[in-house]
Amino acid sequence: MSAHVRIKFLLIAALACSWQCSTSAAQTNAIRFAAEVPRAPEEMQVFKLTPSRPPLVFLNEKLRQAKLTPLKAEGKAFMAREASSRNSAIGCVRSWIRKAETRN
Amino acid sequence: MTPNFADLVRSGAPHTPLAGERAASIAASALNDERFIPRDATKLRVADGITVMAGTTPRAQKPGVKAIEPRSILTIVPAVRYAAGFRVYGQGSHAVISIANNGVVVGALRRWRTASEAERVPTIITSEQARESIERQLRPMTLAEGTKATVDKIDIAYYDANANYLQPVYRFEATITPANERVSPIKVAGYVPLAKELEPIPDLSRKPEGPAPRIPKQDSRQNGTGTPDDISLGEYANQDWPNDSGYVSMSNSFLRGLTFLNGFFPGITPPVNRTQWYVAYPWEVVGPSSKYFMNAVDVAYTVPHGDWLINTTKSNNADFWDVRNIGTGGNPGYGAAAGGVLATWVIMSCEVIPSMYDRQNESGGLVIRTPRLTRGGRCSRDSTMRLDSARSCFIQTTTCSLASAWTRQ
Repeated sequence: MSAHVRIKFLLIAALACSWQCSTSAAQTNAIRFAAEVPRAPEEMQVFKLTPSRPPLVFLNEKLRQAKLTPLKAEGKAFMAREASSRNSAIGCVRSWIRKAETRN
Repeated sequence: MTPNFADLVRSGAPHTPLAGERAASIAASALNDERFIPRDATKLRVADGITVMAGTTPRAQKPGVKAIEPRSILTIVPAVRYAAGFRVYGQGSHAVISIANNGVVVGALRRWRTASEAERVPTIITSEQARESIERQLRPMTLAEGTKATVDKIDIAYYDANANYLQPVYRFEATITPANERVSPIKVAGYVPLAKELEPIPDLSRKPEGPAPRIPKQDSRQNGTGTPDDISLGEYANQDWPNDSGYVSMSNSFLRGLTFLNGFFPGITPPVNRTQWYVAYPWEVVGPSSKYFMNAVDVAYTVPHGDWLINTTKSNNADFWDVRNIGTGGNPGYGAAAGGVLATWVIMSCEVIPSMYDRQNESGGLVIRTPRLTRGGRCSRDSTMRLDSARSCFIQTTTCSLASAWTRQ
């Protein structure tokens, strides 16, 4: 590669680099920190999660207090259906919980 | 357990909402009931109540139904979870109690897994690295010329993906201010893992999963309305979706919300088909072509950004559609009367349809202290990202004014 071509190549690379740098700097300037990053403890507790049991007794108590139909087992879930809306596609379920909660 | 608004509006319960202390006391009793949320290694605090209003309007098909002016019908009290003294955010750790004005619990929702202490992990990130990660996540949102981001808050917290762990994170909130003053600033929130990730933690710049929106052909007549029995859904992602995953994520969340119950109980709600999943352009909403797009679906869902009567389709500063152009320039409007099928349009954006309160506040006729009602009020990306069910969408709509829903029957 001749010196002339090498200089040309270097110039193009420098131009590309300066454009890239100015764009990146402009983007960084567009982001302002009005809050400090708090210092984190050296180590932290991790918590393991497991599915909570279905709140059947709690919900039935609240449903009764609100004069609503309590939940009954239906297949893989507990459902509360109102007599007037038994055949309606929408609105037949006012409350439900899954019997076997794999995901809470 | 979801409150029935129609019943509550017609009930003989008092018309004034519960006093804050009484609502908090009833909610605390329910939320601390071990039969609802079992005690575990974390702590729960009761947040401020949110009052919800409702009313009825008469319909021509049902003569005899009297209009009831909107009034407070219930108070929703959320729980906030803390682990090791730090607040928990994410998809899990959500519970709310809804209380009617007579003090009866009429609603309860829970997405709350039981936590137990696992191992202690070393934090692997420095303050400088955290700042770099925040900048990296915000950079795609500031690509438009003149758009600025201000990081308002950075806290140590835990992230709950509603899966296996509560993981330590930095949680940050930022305000994105577009150059165009007509477009409202938006609030975004994100996370930076503090330790080695045990399961995925959301990253604002991560590419969304699932099918990408397609580029529609203008005046295309190929856009069907699904099968006659299905509810057809059209979703239109902002043209900037490759740089900002929020547009696609919130559209996918809305679709998931509509199909959620059917996943457990097939046939319980009518099938919903996303017949249009397109990159957003103004001509899909206004102009003559809109009959092949917005007016060819039963439910339309458009995404940010917006301000009074306008909404962008390209980033937060370009390709606007204007509400005032509906019904002009060859656009006949929407719905059956205009030869289409559109029944519901969810405008997931700030302030596109100003309320009477907004206009009154601008004209100076009323001092309104609730931030959601003031011009220039912020909407929270974090909240919109959590719209994972039609139910929570409703709550957001009624409490935060995040989404303006415009329905034509």
